Amino acid sequence: MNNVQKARLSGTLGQKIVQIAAYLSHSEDLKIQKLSFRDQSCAILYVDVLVKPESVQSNIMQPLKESVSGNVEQNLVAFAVNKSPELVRVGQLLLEGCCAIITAEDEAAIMVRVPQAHNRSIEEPRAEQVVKGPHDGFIEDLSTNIYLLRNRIKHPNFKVNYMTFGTVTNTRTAMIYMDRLANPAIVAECEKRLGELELDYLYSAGNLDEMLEEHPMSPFPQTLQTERPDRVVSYLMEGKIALIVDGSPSVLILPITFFSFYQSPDDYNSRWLTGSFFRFIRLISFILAICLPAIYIAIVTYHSEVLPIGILYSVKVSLTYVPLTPILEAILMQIILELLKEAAIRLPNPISQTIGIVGGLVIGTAVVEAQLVSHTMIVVIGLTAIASFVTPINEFGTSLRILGFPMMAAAAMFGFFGIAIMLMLIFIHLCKIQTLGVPYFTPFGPYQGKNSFKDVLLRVPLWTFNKTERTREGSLVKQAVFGRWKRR
Amino acid sequence: MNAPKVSKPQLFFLIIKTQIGIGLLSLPSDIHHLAKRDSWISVLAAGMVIQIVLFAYWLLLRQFPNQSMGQITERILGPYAGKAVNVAYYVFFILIASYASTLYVQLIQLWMLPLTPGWVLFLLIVGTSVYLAVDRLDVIARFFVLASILFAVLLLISVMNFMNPVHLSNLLPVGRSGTMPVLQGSERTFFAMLGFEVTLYFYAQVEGNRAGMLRVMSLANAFVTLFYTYFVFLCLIGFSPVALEQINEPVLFILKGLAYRLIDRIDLIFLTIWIIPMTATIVSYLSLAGRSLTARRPAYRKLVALSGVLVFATGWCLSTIEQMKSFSQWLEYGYFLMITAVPAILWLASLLVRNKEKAGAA
Repeated sequence: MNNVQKARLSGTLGQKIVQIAAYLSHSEDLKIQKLSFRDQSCAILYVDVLVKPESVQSNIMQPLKESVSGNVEQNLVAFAVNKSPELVRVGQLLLEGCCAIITAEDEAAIMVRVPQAHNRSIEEPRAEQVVKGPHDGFIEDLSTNIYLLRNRIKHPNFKVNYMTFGTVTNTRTAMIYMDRLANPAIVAECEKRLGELELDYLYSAGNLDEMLEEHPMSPFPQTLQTERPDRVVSYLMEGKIALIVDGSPSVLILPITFFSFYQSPDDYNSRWLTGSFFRFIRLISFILAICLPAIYIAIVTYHSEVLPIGILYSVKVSLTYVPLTPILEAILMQIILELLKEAAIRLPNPISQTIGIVGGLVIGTAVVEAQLVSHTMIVVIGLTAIASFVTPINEFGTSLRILGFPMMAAAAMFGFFGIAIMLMLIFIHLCKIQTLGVPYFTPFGPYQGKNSFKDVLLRVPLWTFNKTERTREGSLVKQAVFGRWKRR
Repeated sequence: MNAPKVSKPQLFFLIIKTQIGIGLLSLPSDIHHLAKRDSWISVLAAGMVIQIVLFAYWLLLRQFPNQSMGQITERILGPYAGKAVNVAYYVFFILIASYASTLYVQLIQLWMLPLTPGWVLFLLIVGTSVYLAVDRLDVIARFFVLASILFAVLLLISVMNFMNPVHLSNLLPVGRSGTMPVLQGSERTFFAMLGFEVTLYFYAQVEGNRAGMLRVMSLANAFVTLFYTYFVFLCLIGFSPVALEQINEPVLFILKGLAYRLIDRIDLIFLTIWIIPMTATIVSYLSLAGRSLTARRPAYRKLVALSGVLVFATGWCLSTIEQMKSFSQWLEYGYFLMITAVPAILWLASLLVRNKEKAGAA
């Protein structure tokens, strides 16, 4: 293996070609074209699926054939020309969409970038639609994704660091942040962690997420994945770091805090009163999604005296013929709900509508009429499901539904006491975890002044955001969440 | 353990969360046995006493701004006597935590889960407390600050009481009970308001300068005193004197009278929320226990875990004792000495030590 790493191109033209072909496993999509450049013979090698034939034709072949003076490099019509004698490097560049030109005399191969791109068009991400605001989304191509961000932040401090992960897949990854705005300690920590990664393959942003997490056993996601450029821009302006993986439309944001999962671009694109109202509704949904079934179970099993006699009567009557205990009832309904969701999520639209009808109408009503499950339980589970879908980031909603299960178990065993203890455990956990050294529950964690609360429970008007000063000279001054900033 | 620092507001919440706990629920009827209608004056008087104690703490801690109580004792009394005092503190913290959790479990069994075995409840409470207490002080503070939002909810619920018939005339005439009963009442209140001694250990971990520390401590005391006075006052005007003597947990009982179309037993909701301050108290004592014997992080974690086991075992034993009354009296007076007399003596000693040093230098 070491020999291959150090191998250089050598020998006659034919030997060099064989060397490269052997390195690429004699794959048949490696095309080799011999031609003569003025009297000297040379060869052009490329992987034909990765390059654009027209560019090879017009930028390399034609100029070389028609040239009258100068050497090979001077005749090429290309903007990115590399020269390398190392076999590994040549092979890598060939796989990145380069075209190699080798001559008998020159030891180094001349590499010209002529990549072919088959990209999906820029569309609104399906999982994160907004009512108002930009409707573009990231795609699977790294360059396009960086373009989408650069196009929104035209500032010299916008910094991109390229890295490559995966010894097999060689996936390009970009780490983007605003220099001088992002906390250097956080950037250094992130770079350190990324530097220590050793992977064979990197398929998606999700893989990277799992490798970077500090608390893998936590039910809460510790990085935020989004497909919305406007969202990423807003986080970059808050001094956070974005990681983009080539081939994945999800962008990782870190360090992230709990409350980021409850913010949506919609809040900022509508008026502040509307934004705050919805923010508030979402935060209530957090508690509802975790607790509602548990509260119901606790009430019907332990604390029925909490309900006045009128309501208690109707609840208990609907429970009379139900053969299951409330906890089993709740778990059964939650699982049915997840089944329906999982079944519908990947099917084409017309079929998934059928599932919706079968699930919602047929199972929902039939199960009550058959007295397998009580009316109230259907209402409770329905509300819980809706509350968990309210979170703007889908992943977080799933975490909430999963947390609902231990909560229900605690309620079934210890009633309200169990709920209180479980909630305490959840909140203690939230206070404990950190992402990249930033407490997850910021700003409730370390107190950082009144300003840090402005965008948490409510979305206060943008003009109330004061400039928060940075300590270092010449650093950027953050003025607003979606805001303007200027050099001081 | 030097690194994590808490801010002054966080210290405020650390103190009030420790102080407000199980004691309040039965306090109004406890004092009423002694001070009758002037119970509320007793609470205020207890607050004054605590203020004096806090002032003594401040005088002591001011001289050792970066050392916690465990280090101060060893510095003033020397390594052996200091260690002995620290071990005594440790034992008392464990006993107080066990006593508090015993009362806590009895309360839960009485009001919520009469059939659940006590040890399960002990396990849940102590387990949750240890989970938080092993972590750094700033994490504990973070949780306490967050949980303090619930005080707003509790106050809101308590305001509903004014929809019940209230008799302000129950309080009149003011001062009829006389001085001694009021003072006896404030003695009881003092023990219900324990928890201010956390300052002895957390003071050193507050960031920033030491100016304004006394103010934070006093504000916390004022808040707790007023909070307690308010609830005692509510019970005094809500119950007739005869009824108040017969009820164990008047603060919960008074809410039982409220009924709405959607919800009938507000007291259960109140108790559910009250579980959090009650657990917070145990968290604080476990953390104090850890801090009283060690200042190093890994040792602290192990010690807190061990203390959790001890609290669990002691609490369980306590719950089987029939004569809780005599035990609690003994415990309270012993503890009283530990948190008032010992710091005061240490303060005086510190003056002497410092003078001696000065003399030696001259």
